[in-house]
Amino acid sequence: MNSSAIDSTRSSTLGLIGMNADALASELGGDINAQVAAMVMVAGREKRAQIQQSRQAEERLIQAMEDRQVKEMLQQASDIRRAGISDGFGKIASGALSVAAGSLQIEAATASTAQAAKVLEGEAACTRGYAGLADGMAGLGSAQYNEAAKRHEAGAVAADNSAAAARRRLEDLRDEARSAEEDQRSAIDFLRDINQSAAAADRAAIFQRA
Amino acid sequence: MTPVSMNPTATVALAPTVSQPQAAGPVPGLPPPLLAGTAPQDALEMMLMSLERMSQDSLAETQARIAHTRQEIREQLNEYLKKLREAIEAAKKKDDDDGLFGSVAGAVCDTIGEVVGTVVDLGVDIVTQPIDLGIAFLKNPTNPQAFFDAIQTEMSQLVSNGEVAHSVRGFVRGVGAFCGSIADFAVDMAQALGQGVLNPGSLRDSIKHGLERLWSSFETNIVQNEAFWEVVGAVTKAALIAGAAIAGGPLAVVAIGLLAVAEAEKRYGIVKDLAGAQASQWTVIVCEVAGSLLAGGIAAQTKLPGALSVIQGSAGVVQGVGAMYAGYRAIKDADEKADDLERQANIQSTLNRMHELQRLMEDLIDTLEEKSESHKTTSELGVSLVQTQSAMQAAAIMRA
Repeated sequence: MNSSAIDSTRSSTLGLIGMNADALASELGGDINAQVAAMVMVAGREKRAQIQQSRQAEERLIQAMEDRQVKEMLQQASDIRRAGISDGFGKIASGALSVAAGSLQIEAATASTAQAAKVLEGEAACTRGYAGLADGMAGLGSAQYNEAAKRHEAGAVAADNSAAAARRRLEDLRDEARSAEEDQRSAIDFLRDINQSAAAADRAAIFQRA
Repeated sequence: MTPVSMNPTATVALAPTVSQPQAAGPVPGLPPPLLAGTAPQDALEMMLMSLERMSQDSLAETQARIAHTRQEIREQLNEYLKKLREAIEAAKKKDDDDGLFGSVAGAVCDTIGEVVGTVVDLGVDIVTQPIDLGIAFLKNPTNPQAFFDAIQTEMSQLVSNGEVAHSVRGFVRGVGAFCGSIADFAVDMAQALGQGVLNPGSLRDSIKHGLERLWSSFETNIVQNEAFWEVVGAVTKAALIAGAAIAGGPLAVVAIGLLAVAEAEKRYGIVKDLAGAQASQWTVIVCEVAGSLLAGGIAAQTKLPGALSVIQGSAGVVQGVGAMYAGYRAIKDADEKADDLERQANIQSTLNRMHELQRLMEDLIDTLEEKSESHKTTSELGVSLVQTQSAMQAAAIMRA
């Protein structure tokens, strides 16, 4: 992913003027009207710069949260796979031991001597116990991995929610940026109207004198 | 405003000069000089041309970035569609899986209605049975006859109780159907062998299809038959408890008590409520293992009736096979689920990238709009400035 979806070069000729309010007022004519216009333009420019920074921060947050969401999902998948392996191998081991125990038990039933039968019965009991132990241990391991998977699932949902909140804030900032741009444009229009009026007055004065 | 000399031709000079950005032969890879190919007459013209050129360059750059972003979005869309297609193909493949262990999903869907009712109704009774047997023994430790009466009662319920009888019917039906499949397989093989003398290829196909059908029948009637496993489980537990009971003595009481505690915990979850799931699981494990070891040890000291021992052993073997298959299914199901989730994560990642590009595109379009507006404003300002200066100049001339 690139560092930011926000266009970092975004600026207009209205924003290209990087001077302070006094210097700008001087450039725009230096009278009281130019000072008002310069003040509004500088305020708008600073506001837009702040909004731009906020937007870039929100965009970075969105990207971080989206990356985190994907990472959590992959972790969840990994934990689910481990839980399945733990559970599955435990059950297979338990099943194999149960088969062995059953076989020993059948052998004991058909043993020729009572002593041999007792030994086989004992071995069968031990094997059955190990089978139960294997099953239980597998269940424990599986439960731990399942718990981790659920935790990652919750993390993915939380990251998604954070990204959605940042997207909403980004939309709000976009509206604010438009508002600041309108303010700057109003200042330009104001200055133009004032200049035109002044020029018209000057012309009228010249004709009057003539 | 910066004082500049008045020049009424400035607006006329503006248009042709900005339309020749390559006239001065720019260095490749570098932006052309702002005033290349122009002949500014005064400061005002120079300033307006500079603004115009900057605006044009900025617009062109934004347009180029929009085109590039559009291309990236198209590539991401193709990537997204590719991943989606892979996911669909994987899901389809899973449905069509007719391998050795076959598709569980299809069979489960076919039998789910029957099995759910069976499991819910019979699980309770099957779990109750060993508990009741244990309680019966604990109540009558010195009276084996009373305990055997209890066993007889429990066993008679297997066929008299409507719910348990259903489980037994399922068990019998499953085993019978599988035996029928074995018989079919034997007949098919006999026929195939007869034909195979003339056509070996047909014999190979017949064996392959016969084995596939046999495995499918085994899966449906045995492995996936809940009733089968319920009955086997009940018989095993009953046989284990009976073995310990026959051996008698105080240790038998302890063994049966431990098994009863394990079953009670599974059923009522008392420890689970008090100390959590892990404690409950450990309780069940310890009680079951200790109870089984104790019961087995006691039985080992006493010669059990042969039939009972064979029942215990056979049930254990069958349960073991079932557990092994369940383990295999657990690994395979978890693997498939994990694969699905990974595909979902990859698709999500591509979607995120697309959303990011979409936001960038929206921003670039806003920028283009803003720069276009700014360009227009600059032009208007320039025109207004020149007109004002011209008017002032005209007024001065008129006066003169």
